[in-house]
Amino acid sequence: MKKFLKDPRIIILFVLALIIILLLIASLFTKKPSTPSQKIIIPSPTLPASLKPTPSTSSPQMEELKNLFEEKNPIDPPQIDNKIAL
Amino acid sequence: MAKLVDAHGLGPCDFGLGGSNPLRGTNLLHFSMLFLLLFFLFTPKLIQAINTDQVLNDHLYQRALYTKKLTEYQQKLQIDQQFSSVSTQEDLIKITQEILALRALTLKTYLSYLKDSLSSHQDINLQATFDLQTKLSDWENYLTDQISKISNTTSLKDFKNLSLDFNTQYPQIQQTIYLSLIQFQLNLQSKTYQLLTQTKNDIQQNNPSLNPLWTDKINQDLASFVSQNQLLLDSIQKSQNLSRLSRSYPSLQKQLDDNKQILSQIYLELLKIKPKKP
Repeated sequence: MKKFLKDPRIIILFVLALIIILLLIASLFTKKPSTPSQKIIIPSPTLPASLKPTPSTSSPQMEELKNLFEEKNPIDPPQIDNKIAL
Repeated sequence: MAKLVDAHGLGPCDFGLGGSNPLRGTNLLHFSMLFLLLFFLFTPKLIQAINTDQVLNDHLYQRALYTKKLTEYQQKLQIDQQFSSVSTQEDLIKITQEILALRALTLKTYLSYLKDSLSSHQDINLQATFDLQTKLSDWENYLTDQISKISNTTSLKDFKNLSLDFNTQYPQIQQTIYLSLIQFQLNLQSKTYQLLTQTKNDIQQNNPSLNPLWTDKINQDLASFVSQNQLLLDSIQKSQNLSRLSRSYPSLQKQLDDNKQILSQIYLELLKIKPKKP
């Protein structure tokens, strides 16, 4: 057991696990939107270079498309009464 | 003294059998590494899904409380108008404080939910989405400030001033809300459009003998979506400049639905021609 605990790989593993737990806790407390790194992209008829067709990947794509079509819009805003206290 | 290699109990040691089994610790290490790898891969998505659900549930809870309290407020207001006694006045002050705080909180949780929803496809229109999320955060801060002022107020006159202040800001909050609802759908449709284009190209590449009429039809539909989308963006810009997005939202939503219909048609066309499996 002592040998097992002295194994450098085990130590690395524990340190990694600790970092992950700290990152998780940090991510739960920060909800800020991520900073932008690129400008708005409006769909254009020309295909972007990053979307060059790759062979035999149609099935996962169709699955992803199905999920996109099934995605629901956010719920409607609440009815706000603006006559309160007036 | 027996050497360690001569010792029994480390696994097979009879004639014809191999060496010792790997240590239990080594197996444990491999399992742990595999677990960590899976953890790294799936945790971010899981956290986002849990977070979105929590934010929505939080809003729905506050919304239900607000609706319930509003009825109570209206009843107490009526009673005070009828009797106008010291006790009815006290009751009215108490419930006014509660309902104003709940109204601000309901709106605040809704803004938080919208901000979270926008994150799901923000990579498509990053700058526009980020700007909206920043605006939503600013309004959240305004409402937090309102809640704090409401809790420190004890007279109906001050409540009236706070409510008047809210009414001057509310049209702008509404503008941000409707813009966020539209942006969410624009992001989703842009992503769908990109994926449809990619899928069409893949099918074309994998099926050289494909009927060119089919390709033309898909290309026409894709081009139609782009032109309709441009018209929609122009309408949004016009409504935004006139600050009447909340009024024109139903017509913009209809345009968004029509655009989704075009994308849906392309998807159905793609489903008809499945690529040949190798």
